[in-house]
Amino acid sequence: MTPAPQVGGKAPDPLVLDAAGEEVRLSGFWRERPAILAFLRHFG
Amino acid sequence: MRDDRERIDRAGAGLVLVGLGTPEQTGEFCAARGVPFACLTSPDRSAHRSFGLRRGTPDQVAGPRVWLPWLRNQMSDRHQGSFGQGDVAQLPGTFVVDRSGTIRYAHRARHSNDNPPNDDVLRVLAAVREEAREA
Repeated sequence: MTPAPQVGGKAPDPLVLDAAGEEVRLSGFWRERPAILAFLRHFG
Repeated sequence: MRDDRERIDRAGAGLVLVGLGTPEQTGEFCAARGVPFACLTSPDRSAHRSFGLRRGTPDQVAGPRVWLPWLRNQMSDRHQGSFGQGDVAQLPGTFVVDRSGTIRYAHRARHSNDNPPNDDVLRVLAAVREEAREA
């Protein structure tokens, strides 16, 4: 199992889906400014 | 975090939510609640797993540390709504990533109701902003 990324290390850059179902790279959200990534278990 | 939107903006950062439902569920939820942040989803949990977030044990996702605050929330006007979308066993997490792609803060929940204090996250953002100014 790959070790979990730690503080000081590089963030993974997975593909995710936006609300329109389009694939986007997560790194697009920290390219211009720092990002807080909040991973939830469900919406609604 | 929604209540701290101004502080997040002043820190020069953005908030990104990554859930587990379908894109349609994601869009409907965020639109219905006027979520002012990016709403994304990773239905196969690959994004969650890539950040080291795992599924919890029954006690971590449904023990007293979880259902007592949930019950209080349900009785208030702050409740999110019903379960049924995504994966209730997935443990949440919060990370701060700077512009170089470096993780500056990581909080992997020990149970479903284990959220980091907003001030901890905002303090890290302030430090990142200060470093950017000095560079």
